[in-house]
Amino acid sequence: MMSDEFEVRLEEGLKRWASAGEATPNLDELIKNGMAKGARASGQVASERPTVARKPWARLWALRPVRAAAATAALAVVLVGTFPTWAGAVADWPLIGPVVTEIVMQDAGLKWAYENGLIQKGIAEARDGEMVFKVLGVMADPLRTTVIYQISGVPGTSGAKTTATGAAPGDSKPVPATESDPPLPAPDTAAWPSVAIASVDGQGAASWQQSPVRTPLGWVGAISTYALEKDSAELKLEVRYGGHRLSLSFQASRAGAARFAREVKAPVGSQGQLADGVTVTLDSVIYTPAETLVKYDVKKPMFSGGYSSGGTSLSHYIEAGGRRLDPVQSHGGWSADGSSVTMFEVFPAVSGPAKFVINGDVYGKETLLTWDLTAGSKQSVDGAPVTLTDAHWDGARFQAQWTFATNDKFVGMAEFDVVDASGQAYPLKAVSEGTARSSQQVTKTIVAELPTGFHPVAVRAHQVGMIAAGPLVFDLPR
Amino acid sequence: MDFMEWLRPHQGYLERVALALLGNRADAEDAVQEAVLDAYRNRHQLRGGQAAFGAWVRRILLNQCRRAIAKRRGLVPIGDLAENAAVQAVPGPDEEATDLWNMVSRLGEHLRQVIVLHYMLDYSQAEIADYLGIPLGTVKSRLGKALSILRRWDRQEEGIGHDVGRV
Repeated sequence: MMSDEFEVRLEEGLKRWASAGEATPNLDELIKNGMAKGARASGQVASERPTVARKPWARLWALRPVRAAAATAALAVVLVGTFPTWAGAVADWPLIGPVVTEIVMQDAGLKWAYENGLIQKGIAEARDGEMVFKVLGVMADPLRTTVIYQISGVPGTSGAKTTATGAAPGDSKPVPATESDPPLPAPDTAAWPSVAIASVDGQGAASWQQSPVRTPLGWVGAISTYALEKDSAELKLEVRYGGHRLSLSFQASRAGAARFAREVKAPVGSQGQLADGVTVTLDSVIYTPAETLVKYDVKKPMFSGGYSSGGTSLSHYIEAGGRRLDPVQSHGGWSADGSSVTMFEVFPAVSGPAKFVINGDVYGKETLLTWDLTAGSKQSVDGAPVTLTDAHWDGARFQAQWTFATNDKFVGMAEFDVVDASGQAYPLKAVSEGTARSSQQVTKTIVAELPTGFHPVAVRAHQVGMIAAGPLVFDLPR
Repeated sequence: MDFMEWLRPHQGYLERVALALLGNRADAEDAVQEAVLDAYRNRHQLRGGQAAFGAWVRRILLNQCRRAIAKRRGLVPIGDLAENAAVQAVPGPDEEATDLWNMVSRLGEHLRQVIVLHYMLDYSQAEIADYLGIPLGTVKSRLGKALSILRRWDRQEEGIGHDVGRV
């Protein structure tokens, strides 16, 4: 803690000095060249999904033309008659081919579907002013439905901004929020296009977007939703970008890929309990040539905050043939009453007997934690201190950051509000929120808007995400 | 993730942190380049999205600087004032920040590092000891000594007269 005026000046002055740095041009070039070399050498790719991390493919593939196996050729003929599929080498598509290749190759299901001629050719395109949205391909299988798209015609926008002090977000030491701080920049929400699968056959749908990539021909990305419930359905997409909005609908079919999949329901009573009454019920398993999907329900109080699922206490995996297989994707949908969540976890393909292991899960616990907006303000969760390490407020936008030691009891906080000196509370609706986790520390950041004239003196959390420990082990039905 | 777009707001800060810890621009550039490439190769491990990117890449840089510092162990610093003027007087956003950095940059490497880690990067004394691989007592001693020197220079800057002596 600061002990005198000189140390305060020293700390603040050094931080201002560091934050005033500007990228030097030659280092910029060195970094870009290094990234280009490294990307070519390792072929590593990555994407961001909303939940569990994915495993990147080991190297980029140049997509080869569809195999000429008789069965797949026959299938392709059937599909061409109804839903045309990709033909030829996608990698050869001018300028966007490498990006589409990366999207397909980093997903085992998409890769298999491509190699077997099962990616439906894009047949839908829509415009709004100069913006053109084109569906490049659709892949529907019993695990998910993915649309690969391209957006062109609208210039891109810039990326993230720094905090008001110019410091890297999350780096500044606690300072009391004061009205005299310079205004925080507005978060750049227009940097990426917003693409959503709004409905399937008229029913509202949840979707998750893979980070789009900017190419010379515009943005290329992928958006996915759950598996179609029947062989074909109408998808409706909604797109917003750069002030433009459009929607478009088209048919997608899973008939081709479904022929290679097998769903097995779990026996009645496939249920177990983690700590604190969290109940897990295994529903079914879908086996495909490239992937295995485990579907299960978890009955628990919802935790409404984000968290990082790293570490062993929350790991889920399959044990098969002496190997451990970690999930490559994970999605969930809450019941209408919020009492349970249906989870879909995708693993690499499994053959032979296998077990599904759940080491732990996260549930929400109501609480009230209050941090004064002063340096080093602390609260305790299950004996572990959670320290408010940063709080900035410019009269309109509020930003706060907490840190706590990585542990196996809780993962974070949620349902924040701020209070003023009279005790009036204002709920924080985040414009951005993040959780970063290392082996030692978790950092939680939130940025939210406040009404004009509201002067916060404290920030509160009304919920913590607790870990219900296991393990639970299920034999996967075959 | 558009990696370069995410990196851009933080790059200047990372360069200054590396310069402050390593003391010369060449080593700092090497460290930043290695750290950024490391981050790029492992970008799929980032959790928390863009909001967490800055703190995450900073941690990678600090690990890189730690390795660079460890490699130098065994070289005995000469005195508490660096004879090497390699840590340049680099301007800050205002006169006070510039003056404070200039004072810190004149310290010997082992004193400068503890000041940078504690005051610029918020490391606790225990964390500094772990980071530099030195006893906690040594950290306390270096911090005390560095602060004593800096306070004296600060008073001299303000014109409170004392003889300037070598430490």
